[in-house]
Amino acid sequence: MSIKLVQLPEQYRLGHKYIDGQHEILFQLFKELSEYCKDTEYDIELEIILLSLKTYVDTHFRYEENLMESLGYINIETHKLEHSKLEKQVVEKFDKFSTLSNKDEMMVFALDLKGFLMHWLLEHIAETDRTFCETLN
Amino acid sequence: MIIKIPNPFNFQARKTFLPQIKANPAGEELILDFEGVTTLDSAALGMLLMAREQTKDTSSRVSLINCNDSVKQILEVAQFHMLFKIS
Repeated sequence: MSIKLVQLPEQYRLGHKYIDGQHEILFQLFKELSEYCKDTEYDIELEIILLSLKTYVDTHFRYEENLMESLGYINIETHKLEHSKLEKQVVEKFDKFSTLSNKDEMMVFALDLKGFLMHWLLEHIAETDRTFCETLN
Repeated sequence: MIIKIPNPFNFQARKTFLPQIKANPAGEELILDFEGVTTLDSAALGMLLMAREQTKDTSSRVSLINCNDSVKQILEVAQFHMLFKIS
């Protein structure tokens, strides 16, 4: 029996089963995007990654925000503001994707998206989410 | 319409899975049968979201049936129980 998701690197592991599990999905999307950047033979992969990201953002951010509300987390408004900015950027990227017309544009787009996710992992998860999870633990 | 999900359910499954969900008649429930599925990855989660998007335009509903406990657990962690009917 195996459910294969990539192992979340230790620096991103926050000690909360659901939040870590959801972050693993984001990390796997990043890994798949990296694979896409090596081989653009399958256009559909980029669409799957982007669509996954769009819905992931909605379900994951709502999960975290509901948890913060239920616990009366003091920095909730600041955290929600960061979510809002990331969400807006994802929507913008989704809109941009629909305008791409060739493989070169898709590759530039994919590299940009990869940078965006890397920044997200480094800044939001490793720092902002960690601050929240430390209050949980 | 019932679609049997292959095991492993991963990126390799897209060639058969994606055309199948696109063939689902408008307004008809799309049932994804997970019997025998023990392995899935985030590409699979992405394809499930594509199935949801595909049927959203046609007012169809997507149900996931015969999920074993491990599959249910990963779907719950991903919060997919908010998006799909899972049994």
